Amino acid sequence: MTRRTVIPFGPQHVVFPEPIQFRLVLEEERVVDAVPALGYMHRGIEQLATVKDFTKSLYLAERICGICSVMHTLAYAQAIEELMGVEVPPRAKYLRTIWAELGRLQSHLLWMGLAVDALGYESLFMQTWRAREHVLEMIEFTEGSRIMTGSITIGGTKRDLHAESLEFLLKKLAQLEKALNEIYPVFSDDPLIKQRTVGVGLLSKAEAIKLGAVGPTARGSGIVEDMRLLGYAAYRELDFQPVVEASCDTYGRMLVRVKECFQSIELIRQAIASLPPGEVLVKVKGRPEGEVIMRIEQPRGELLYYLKASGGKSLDRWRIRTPTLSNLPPLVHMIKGARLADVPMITLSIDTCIACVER
Amino acid sequence: MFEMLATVLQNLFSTPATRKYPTERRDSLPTFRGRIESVIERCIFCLKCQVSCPANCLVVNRKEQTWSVDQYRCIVCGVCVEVCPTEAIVMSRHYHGPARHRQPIVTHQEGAIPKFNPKAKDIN
Repeated sequence: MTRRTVIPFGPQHVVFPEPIQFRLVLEEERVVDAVPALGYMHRGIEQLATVKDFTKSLYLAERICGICSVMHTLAYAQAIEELMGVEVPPRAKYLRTIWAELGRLQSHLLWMGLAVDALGYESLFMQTWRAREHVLEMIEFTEGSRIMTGSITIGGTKRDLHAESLEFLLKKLAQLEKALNEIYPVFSDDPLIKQRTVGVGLLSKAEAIKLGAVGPTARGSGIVEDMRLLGYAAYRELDFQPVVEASCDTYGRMLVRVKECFQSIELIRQAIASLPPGEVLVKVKGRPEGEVIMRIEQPRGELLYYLKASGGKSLDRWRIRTPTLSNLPPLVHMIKGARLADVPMITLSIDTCIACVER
Repeated sequence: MFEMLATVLQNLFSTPATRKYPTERRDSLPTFRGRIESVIERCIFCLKCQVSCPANCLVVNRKEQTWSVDQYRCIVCGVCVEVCPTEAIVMSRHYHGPARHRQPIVTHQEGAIPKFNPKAKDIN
């Protein structure tokens, strides 16, 4: 019988931007089992929201995760609006869509950079992040800050986009598209990237459904699943189809993200073209009461909020299920049977966000 | 493969994408939220900002007529700027400066408290 070795992978590892540990059980080069260990970043945000004013918890939601800060505020604001029966002005819905897509772009570009850096592509990594700088400048110009944007609020948005900002957005989008067009063939055709990703970390469609994969991980396995199809914000009025790849491996999941960047650019252009005039904020009075479930599409997949309030100034319960948590069982399944050298790329392929998982 | 080589060569001979920071600095964008500043002459000490601050970084003392902000606690969300009835808090587009000790910045108002008039747009 082959001797089994246990190797701790993380919590500090060069490919991980955030701490998570996998205890890998190895038989020679093959991983036969992987045990994830969480708990390095717990901050007690859900508990804090039960004592904080519900309007102030909006800023708490934003601080759950730096990369998807817009998505968390969007989900929180939408959930509270549904509880209180507030109808958001159409212009605010479009602005929220534009900012959500900008957030998705910067998140995907960040991941693309980290993924190729893990493969050893220093130049491509810098090129990707140079393209990301265009997105960050768009966010800074239109929202007033680069990461913690604070532009979405309960009842609409705090800021409006003027003709000058829209012009700036369109100009920057053209530059970004040019940069992405240069990067895309490398991701899709480069032989070395293909060698490290094609057929690695297999997750069949049936397994993905059984284990509950969400977001690009599910779409990389051929499942047509995108929470934007629910039609929250302005997505109902925009024309788009989810990007789906049927190759079921790391390569497929990577291509989904790269193609979604182009999709986001297209969505922002559509939203700018059909931006309705009018107010962006309605006044919200009173306190929330009741229960609500809100699902939105984060860059990493489905984000689920459960809110319960009983007319007090703070919430009774705020449960957050983030996409990375849903994608952990599929990840463990993917790692089993892989070679040790492929584990970094496979773990990166679900785009782990530990700050989201542990709140 | 060779597509990338062309890009690498192009990057080698083109100007850098980053700025040479200490000598060359980018000014903040006009819409940027850098830090909050107090225009203490307009302050009527209504405590609205202190109550609505999500980070609890503002302390308004009605008795001593002081308004103070802990810039290292402030999350620059801009709620206080929105709720202020007299526009006594303004958003600056520059970051707060470095300091040796973490302590609040206190501004003090001399003289009497002006009459409360929420409709007045500009007190001066």
